[in-house]
This record gives sequence, C-alpha cells and structure tokens, in this order.
Amino acid sequence: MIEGLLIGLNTVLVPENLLLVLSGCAIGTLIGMLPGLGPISAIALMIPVTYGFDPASGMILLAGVYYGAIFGGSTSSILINAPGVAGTVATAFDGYPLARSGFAGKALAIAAYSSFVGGTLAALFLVLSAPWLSDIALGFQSADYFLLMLLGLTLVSAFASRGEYLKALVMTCLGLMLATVGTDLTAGVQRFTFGRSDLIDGISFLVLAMGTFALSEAIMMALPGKNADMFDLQSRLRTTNMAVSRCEAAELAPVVGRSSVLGFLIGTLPGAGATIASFLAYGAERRLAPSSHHNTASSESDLVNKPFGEGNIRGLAAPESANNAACTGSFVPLLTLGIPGSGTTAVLLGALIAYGIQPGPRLFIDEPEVFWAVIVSMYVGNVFLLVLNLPLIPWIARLLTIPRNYLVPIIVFFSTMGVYLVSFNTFDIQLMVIIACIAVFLRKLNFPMAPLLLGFILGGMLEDNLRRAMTLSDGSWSFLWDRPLTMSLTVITVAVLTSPLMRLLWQRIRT
Amino acid sequence: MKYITSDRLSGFVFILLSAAYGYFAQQIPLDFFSETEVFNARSLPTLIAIFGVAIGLTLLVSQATPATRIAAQEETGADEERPNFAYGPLLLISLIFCYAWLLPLAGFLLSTSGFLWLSFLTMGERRWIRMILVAVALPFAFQWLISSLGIYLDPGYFGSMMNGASA
Repeated sequence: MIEGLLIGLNTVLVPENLLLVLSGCAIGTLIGMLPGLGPISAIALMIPVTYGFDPASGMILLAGVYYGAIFGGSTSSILINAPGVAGTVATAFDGYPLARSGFAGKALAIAAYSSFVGGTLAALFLVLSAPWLSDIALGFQSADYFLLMLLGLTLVSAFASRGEYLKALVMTCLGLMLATVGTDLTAGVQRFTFGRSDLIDGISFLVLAMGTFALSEAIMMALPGKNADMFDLQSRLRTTNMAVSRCEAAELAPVVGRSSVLGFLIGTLPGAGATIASFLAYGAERRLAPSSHHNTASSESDLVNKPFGEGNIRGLAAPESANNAACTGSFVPLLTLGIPGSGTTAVLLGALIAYGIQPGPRLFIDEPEVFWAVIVSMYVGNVFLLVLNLPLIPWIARLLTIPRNYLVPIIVFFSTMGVYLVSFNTFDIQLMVIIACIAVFLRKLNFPMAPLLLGFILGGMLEDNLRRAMTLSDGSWSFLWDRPLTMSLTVITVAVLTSPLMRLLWQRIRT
Repeated sequence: MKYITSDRLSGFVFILLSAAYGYFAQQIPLDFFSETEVFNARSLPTLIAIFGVAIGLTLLVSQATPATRIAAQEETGADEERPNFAYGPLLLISLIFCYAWLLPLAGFLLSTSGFLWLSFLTMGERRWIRMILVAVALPFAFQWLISSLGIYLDPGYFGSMMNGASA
C-alpha cells in the first residue's frame, strides 16, 4: 500500500499534473455552478480534451472536474435552489433557506469545509479499505439492492416537512411513474410513449431536474410577491459573513464524521452513489437531531437549533460531506471491479476504456500509476477545492446580486441550454417547460419536488433488481425475508413506511 | 362544497391519474413468452398504480376537515396560500416555447438574443442599452465557450441561408 501511495504521489506531484488537478477543479466548479450542467456533462465535455494526455493525467483532470462540479452544484443549490445534479438536491433543503435568511456566505463555507472533510476522510478510507470493501459490495445480491433502494424511497418521509408525508409519497410515486416511460430494455416494448418517437428513450433526468428545480424556481421568482423577497436576499448577500463559530464547528464535527462514513459506504455500492448517500445522511441527521432542534429560531447563534428544512446547518453539512465521500466511494467498484457506482463513474469508465485501459481487479497490477494517481489526486483535488473555493466565496455569493430582471431570464437560458446541449432536441425544451409549469402548481400546493426526482432516478434500477430477484426466486416474494440482511432491510422499510401512517391514524381516532 | 380542500382535490386527482396509469399499464403489448414470465414489462407499472391509488385514497381521507383546519389556522395564524398566477410568468413560458421553436430555424445567436431581450423586457427591465448589450454579448460569449470545447451549435435555417448568400 505504501509503495502504491508513493507511486501515486510521484505521478500527481509533478507541476503538469498539479496544474491539471487545479484546472479540473476550477473548470468543474464553474460548469457545475451553472444550473443544468452537472458532473456528467462537465466530464463528458472534458473527455475530448484529455485524449492528448497520458491515461494517468487524463484521469487526474477528470477526477478534478468531478469534485469541482459537485462543489459547484452545491453552490447553485445553496444560492438559487437549482441543483444541477441529483447528488446536491439534499444540499438545497437547508442550504437555500440559510441563503434566504442572509447566511449565504456561512452556508457556502460550511459546504466547503464539509466537502473537504468528507472527501479527505473518504480518500483515507479508500486507501485503507478498497480491496475488502469491493468484496462486500460484490457480495450484494439483487434482493439487497432492491430493498436498499426501497428503503431510500421510503425515507422520503424524513425529507418532507411535518404533515407533508403523504404528499412526499405521492411525489415519489409520480417519479416512479415517470421512470417507466420509454422502452423497457429487457422486453424491448414501449411503455407510455403514446406513439411519440421523442419518448422512446424515456424522459431525461436533466429535463426533469431542470423542469422541477431550476426552471420552476425561475418562474416562481417571476411570480408577483417574490420581488421583495429576492431584493431582500440580494441585500443580505452583500453583507454576508463566512465565519463559522467554534460552537457550530463542535456541533458539526460528529455530523460530518458520521455522514462521511455513511457516504463512503453507500458510495461503494454499485448503483447507489452520491444521491442516496446525501438523502440518507440528511434523513439520518434529521432523525438523530434532539427534539429541542425542532424549535424555531432566528438568530445566527441558533442555526443549529433551527428546524430541518428551514436552515439548520447540520442539515447542510450532512449531505455535503456524504455526497463528497460517496463520490470517492464510487471509485471503489469502478477501479477494482470495473462496475460504475453512479452515472458519473459510468462516464469515467467510458473514458478509461477510450484510453485503452480495462478497469477491473487487474488494474492494480497492470496500471498501478493510473490506479494510485486517481486516489492521490482525489486528496490533492480536495485541498485545491478548499484553497480555491473559500477565498472565492464572497465573489461566488454575489451571483444573486444580479438584478432579478436579468437573473430570471439568464437562469431560464442556462436551464434551456443545459437540456438542449445534451440532446439537441427542442422537444426536450418543450417537455421541460411543461414539467416546470406543473412543478410550479404543485409547489404552490406544498408538494415537495425532491422525492419526485429520487423516485425517478431509482425507478429504473429498482425495476432491474426486482426483476432479477423475482426471477431468481421463481416469482416468490420470499426473497424479502429469506436472509438476515434482507429481513432486516424489509423490517426497517416497513417500519419507516407505516410509522407516520399509524401516527396519522392515531391522531384521527383521537380527534 | 365545504369538504373540498386543495389537499383532498389533489388526492382525488392522483387517484384518477394512478387509475389511468394502471389502465395504460395493462395496454403494454407483451409477447407470449413475456406473458408467462414471473416479471414482465407490466409488473412494476401495475404495482406502482396500486400503490398510487392507495396513497391517493389515504390523502383523500386523512386530510383535516375545513373546520379543524380553520381552527388550526387560527391557532398558528397561518393563512392558506392560493395559487397566484400573473401575466409575466405566462409570457415568459410562452417565450421559452417560441425560443424552442425558433432555435432550429433562426439559429442559436439570433434566437437567443431575441429570447433574452424579450425576456428582460417581460421582466420589467427598461434600461435599453444595458438590456441589448447583455442580450447580444451573452449568446456570443456562450457560443465562444462552447465552440472552444469542440461543440458545434447549428446556425439554423436563416444562418445557413445568410452564409450561403455571403459565400
């Protein structure tokens, strides 16, 4: 291991490669900040640029872009509630209310620190545990994956505000429905396309994410009554304070530690990735928060005591550290098994294959400089991100000081281009506008949007794993309880799903 | 009428949506072999439809009646938010539709400049010089950035015609 680390350090710590890490982080942050352009788009855009480099340098640049884009996505989530990627949706839950309350600088600083610690701890875990963690992930069966995803979906109740549990479930269900639109790849039949060729490949994640978040946010900004709020936000941003008090740091330390471990473990599971990690970390912290944390508070010193979803800094630090740790964790199955842990690592897999490298167990032996250079560049990238982003925070935070008359059309323009540049199909723009209109209406009725996105993202994987599990068990549902792991996951899922309903029923009986 | 609330109406609409989804799920064409499989293309949509109807029904029956809601509102001082739509957002939405339609025809630069200028105008901006400068500079800067990354943006039908005429 030491020898491997030395190989990695030797490869990364040369001026050219250090410059590549720095450039990757800077480009990734800028692209990731633009609503609609997440790490997948950023890496896909940069792959042609890396064709002239040797494989290790190419991967170093792409790893930097990955981290930069994740951090940039968090920045747009916090400032304008427009997560370009699903992994930063949970960041917006408390990050955006914090920005609205005038703590945009603090929110961005906490995000930077949490990302740094999460990424650093995960890089350490990766070095120490890559070989045996990949064995554990390899041992997971379809039934385990199915139940893990089902648990992730039922945990949406943890993300919803009080009294909005059923609405969150409605949105999850709607997300699952939208995920089934398109061609069923196993049977080769079209579902819910209604004869439209534009829907054969299904609805793009980007179209749904942009429609429900960035574009609907822009339309909401254009609604009457939002002017004063935006003006207020802009004036607060001008006097934003980045300092994190010692008390807040002490409160956040265990949160970041727990979330980093959780994020890394979830990230190592193929198919799970940063999205589930950030949602689970947020849900876990929300449940772990003492009851006093549900009091309403307004002063800066009470940010740890604010209710979750209204600007609690624990609710911001947890998903931020978890998603960064999961990004590192997702490299475990990619580098050791050749299985991408997320959409982004799938693009990286494509890049590795394009360089003529076959990821898998032999990567350790055949291409040690690529394997260890990627690992070391992760840590170096995290250092650069902290060094690069913290001093830039006051400038980044001024993004919303652009007048509303300009900001709204510019958000609309970037959302539209983010969707258009992926497919070059104007139907996607029209679909995005329709989704945004429905989203605005639903948001006015207090329906949460994040469960819709989570249901949509997990829908395809959920179906694949359920199909495999059902086929292996010959149509029997016994796979839900025939092993201790599946039994435990089933019990937890049922408990999470039914407990709020039982509480609701009990309240109805009492009244 | 007093029992109709926005939440109950949402629950009812979702039941209808789930029922329609379930109906169309049963229309998914299956070949003989798929029909005999334990899990086919209809299986998950059918499960989702059943779950959707169940959730919709729970939403329909579990919401507070208007009397208890009014009492809760009096207690918390909260007022039910009503959807408030105006011409500005509607115009903006119409502009995006027109922009999508014009992109392949007028090309990126022309359609984007026009879209941005009209959007600024719709949002209430009246500083003409600044507005026009931004509407023209942003698409050019964006195209330069994109083309430096090796992505080609279609000049559109009119752009091609103009290029043809100048050649």
